[in-house]
Amino acid sequence: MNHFEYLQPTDLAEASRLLGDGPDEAMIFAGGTDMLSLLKDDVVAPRKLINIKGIPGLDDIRYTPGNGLVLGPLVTIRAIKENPTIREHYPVLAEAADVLASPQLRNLGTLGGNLCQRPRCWYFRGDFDCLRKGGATCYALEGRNKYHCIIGGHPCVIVHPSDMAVALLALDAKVTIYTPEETRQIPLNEFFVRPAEDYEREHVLKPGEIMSRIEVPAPPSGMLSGYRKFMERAVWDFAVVSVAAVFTRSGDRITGGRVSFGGVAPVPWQDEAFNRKLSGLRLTKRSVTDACKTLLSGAEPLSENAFKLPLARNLTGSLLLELAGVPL
Amino acid sequence: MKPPEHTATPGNDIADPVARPDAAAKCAGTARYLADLAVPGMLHARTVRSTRPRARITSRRLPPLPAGFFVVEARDIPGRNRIRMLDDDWPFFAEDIVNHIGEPILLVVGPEAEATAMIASRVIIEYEDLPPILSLDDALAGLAPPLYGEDNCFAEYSFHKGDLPQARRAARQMVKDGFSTGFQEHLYLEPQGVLAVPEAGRLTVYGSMQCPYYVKKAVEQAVGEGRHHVRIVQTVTGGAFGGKEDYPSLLAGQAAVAALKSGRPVRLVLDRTEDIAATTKRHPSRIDFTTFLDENDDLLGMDVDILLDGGAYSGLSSVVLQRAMFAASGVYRVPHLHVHGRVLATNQVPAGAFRGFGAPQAFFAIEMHLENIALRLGLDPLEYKLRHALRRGDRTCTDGLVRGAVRLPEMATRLCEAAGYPAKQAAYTAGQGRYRRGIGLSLCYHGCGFTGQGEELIQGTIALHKRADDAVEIRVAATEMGQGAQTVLPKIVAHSLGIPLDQIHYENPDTDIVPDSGPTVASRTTMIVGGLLREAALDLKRHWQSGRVMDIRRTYHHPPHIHWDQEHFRGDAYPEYAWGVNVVEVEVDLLTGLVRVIKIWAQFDVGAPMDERTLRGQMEGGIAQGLGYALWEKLEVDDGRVQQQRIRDYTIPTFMDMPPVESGSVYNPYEFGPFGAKGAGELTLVGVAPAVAAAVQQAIGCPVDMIPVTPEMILRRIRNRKHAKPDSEIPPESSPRSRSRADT
Ligand SMILES: Cc1cc2nc3c(=O)[nH]c(=O)nc-3n(C[C@H](O)[C@H](O)[C@H](O)COP(=O)(O)OP(=O)(O)OC[C@H]3O[C@@H](n4cnc5c(N)ncnc54)[C@H](O)[C@@H]3O)c2cc1C
Ligand code: SF4
Repeated sequence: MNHFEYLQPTDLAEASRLLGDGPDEAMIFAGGTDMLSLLKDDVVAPRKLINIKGIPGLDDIRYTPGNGLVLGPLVTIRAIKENPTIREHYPVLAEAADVLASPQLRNLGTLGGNLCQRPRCWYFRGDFDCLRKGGATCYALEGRNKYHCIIGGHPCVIVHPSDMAVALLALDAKVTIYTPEETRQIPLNEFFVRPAEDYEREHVLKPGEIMSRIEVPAPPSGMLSGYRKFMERAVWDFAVVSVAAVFTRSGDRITGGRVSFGGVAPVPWQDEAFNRKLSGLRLTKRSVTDACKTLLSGAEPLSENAFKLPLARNLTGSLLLELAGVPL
Repeated sequence: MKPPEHTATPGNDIADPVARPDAAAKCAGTARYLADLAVPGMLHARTVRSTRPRARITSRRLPPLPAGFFVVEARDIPGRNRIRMLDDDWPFFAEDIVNHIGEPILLVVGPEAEATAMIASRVIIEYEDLPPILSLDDALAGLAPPLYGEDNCFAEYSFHKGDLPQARRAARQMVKDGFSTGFQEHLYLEPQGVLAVPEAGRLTVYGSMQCPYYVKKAVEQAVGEGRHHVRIVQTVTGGAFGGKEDYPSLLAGQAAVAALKSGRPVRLVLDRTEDIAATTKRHPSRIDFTTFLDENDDLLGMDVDILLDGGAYSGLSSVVLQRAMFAASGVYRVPHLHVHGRVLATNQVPAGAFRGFGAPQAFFAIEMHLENIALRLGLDPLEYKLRHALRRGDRTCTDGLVRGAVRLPEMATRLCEAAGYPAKQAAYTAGQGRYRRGIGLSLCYHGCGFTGQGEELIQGTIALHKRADDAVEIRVAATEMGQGAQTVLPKIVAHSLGIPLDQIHYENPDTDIVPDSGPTVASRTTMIVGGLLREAALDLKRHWQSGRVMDIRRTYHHPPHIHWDQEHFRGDAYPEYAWGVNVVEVEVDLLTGLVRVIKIWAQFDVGAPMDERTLRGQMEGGIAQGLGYALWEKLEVDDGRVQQQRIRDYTIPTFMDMPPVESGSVYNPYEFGPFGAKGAGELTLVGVAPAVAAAVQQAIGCPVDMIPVTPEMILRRIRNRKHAKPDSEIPPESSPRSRSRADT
């Protein structure tokens, strides 16, 4: 691990200035749960760490009926999990927090850090000089790739590790990015960068930019939502595959909604074609199961992870039916 | 004056639990592990390791070394560059050839840990690659030049019982089966480490270890026999599980040489990644059976072929193989038997000792095999297994005599009743719906003490030292590593002497003080070392003179009835056996392949428990580790490189994954064990995997012939089944690999 300077700015402008030219110079330190292991594993080596926890106002949770939810980047996963308003209006978000990491990590880990965390690919975290670390090869392609992606993964086949991102994507969230010049807002699905565009970064933040807010639209009345995460152990594990579903219904038909996936792609993933078909889908076992058969149909599993495709399809089908109260 | 006959303090029954003497410091964080030790003038060492599976070193280029920094390599070894083990192939430092990724080439030693690591990372080793042997398949194909001997085989044995060809001719049915298992990593919480301190003419090595005298011999060989007085002191050891049986010898030899070269103390502590990449693992295995049944469907003959992957150096492989072979026909009476076993060399991390020592692989295989035979015959596995289980007076696979009572039938029956096994076994076969239940059963034994001639070769010696204040010091080389030796051995002595437990002292062993009572392995500490301590204590009691210093020694010899022919593997492979029964119930989600273990029931015959709570620790810990082996723990070595390099990649079960465990023991004292005790340390792990696998097999209705049984493997098996459910369809793998069978 390298030596670094530890700085504690008290406003965004100062933090942004301290961030300087990018990760070699300085990196944001929020809960530190990802940052510390990145440092210890020598994946990153910034000269400065910028602790943003001293900046006031970044850990608010605000809900206004009709307007929706506003979350500061320093809101902890635990705070999301335990917030009654979130549990009531956005079950999918609370459920994603429920199954995230462990109690200790939820206490420390922040939402901003969760969305900006680096991939967990074991070659990336290990002493392999892979593509994403500036090397020439993706070791996972020919190596152990059980946990890697099945779709959207060229030339690096990571999966995005965040549970919160998957839930927020299904909720159509937006993120606000602070820059000294102007503050801009973008839809969450434009926040993440696919490897085909740039395989050395996971999100669009440029040097000096800070995620300063996450907004979730107000839920339409009668919205159903939920999160299912497949993990091998009962705690600590990242999603092998996860699915978030958000929809409204009328009678036995879905009237609109969105499904998103974790663990299948380098970015939190949506199957646009499937989401278009959702509206009008009959909530019966037969039609939901049939619809799910074409989910992620462009998938190209690697040597060890073909199981993720039926896993994603099965999880989606059972989640939709469970939310609709249809017996499996 | 004699001590009073009975004192109240130790309790009337030796099994009554007492407070562990090591617990308070470990819980409070005041226990000092090796990495906590620092002595004045101490230097830090960091290892430069091979990055090639097999290569010739063509050059070593060092960065400029600041004053006070130096390197230690093979040519600095004043003695022999070979670790003293069963064989003579494993060097402390690679010379011109490296044989596995992670093999130590040299140490960088210096006054600051960080700078040392930095310099080590800048050492450039140049290689000329040689054709490697990267898997058992490679080894079998024999395309690359052998790594060991002419046939690339660390050990090959076979033994016979009865007349197998005759059984083959007489048989009505033949059943074939094959099973495989992969590497398992110990993942003790404290990584390996040693500290070597030189003094005039003397050299002391402190370390986290199981076997101080193995380490002593290794260090003596490294520094040159007789040139220095070598003293080994065990430090508080944070778990070992067999992993600190062999490897500390290597580290201690290296640190000792570095300390001699610099004249200063040198500390060498592995970080987790190094520890996972370079230290020994459980041997991967392939075990094949051809079994012959007679006209009553009874076991008539069995031909077993065992193949173990030994990695790059022989280490303890030959004895691991022997234990696997002596477990190959399980707890069953097989009149005609042939067992053949080999350990092959591959350019991978060396395999070595791991709780169970070959038996977990063998019991996984034989128990699944018997399960499969029973199911094929349409019989209840419990009934079929018990029908063939050894009884007192039977002959073991090596024609030894089963002398003690075998209480398996009542243990199994009682356990199966508690678990509702027969009804569930019948009902679950026809499971319906998304969640399927299954129940599995295993019977196992574990030979207590060294395999074969081991105890006779080692002749463990213990001592009791009575001080003038009438306190008694236990002097043995047995180490506390979490298993409870420091709880159990003092109780044995206190109860034998009839004096309070707090009058007994048992420090971590120091070879200047304790005699060589043998290594802390093979489920031998309580039974063999404890047995000697009891004899010595009784002797001391007879001659007890208050206020006087007294010393008593005892050396182990097998009871006279034990006979063993090492050449033909005939006779009593072990002085005694401990027995176990496991029943496991699972629920498998067919949509995801996830296995939920609903409950585990286990019964053990360890002779007599020396401390109920310590035994419970062994039962629950062994079961947890066995569960990990069965369901989660996957250590894959590709192209010679360990892929799971960190704790987060190597998934051991968490507390949240532990099912309820209902475990207990039966009292079945062993005449020559202290208070009737046999061994308990390994037994509790051995039978878990087959019971889990049998339960999963029943739940999914597809064969399970390898562990760990992962969700993806289950989904794949379901797909391959003829009548796959349409909503659990799974497409074929896009580019199947053919590395080893454990992959597929
Ligand atoms: C054992 C383990 C298990 C885990 N399991 C899960 C899991 O199941 N699901 C899951 O989703 N996550 C999991 N995580 C990840 C964990 O949730 C994240 O590490 C945590 O949420 C990150 O938050 P943090 O505040 O600690 O971020 P930090 O570690 O402080 O930062 C993480 C990254 O985000 C950047 N960053 C932080 N805040 C901002 C900001 N406001 N703007 C721009 N950049 C920022 C930092 O520079 C850094 O690169 C796990 C982590 C561990 C160690
Ligand atoms: S998947 Fe990406 S991060 Fe992992 S080895 Fe390949 S390039 Fe590196």
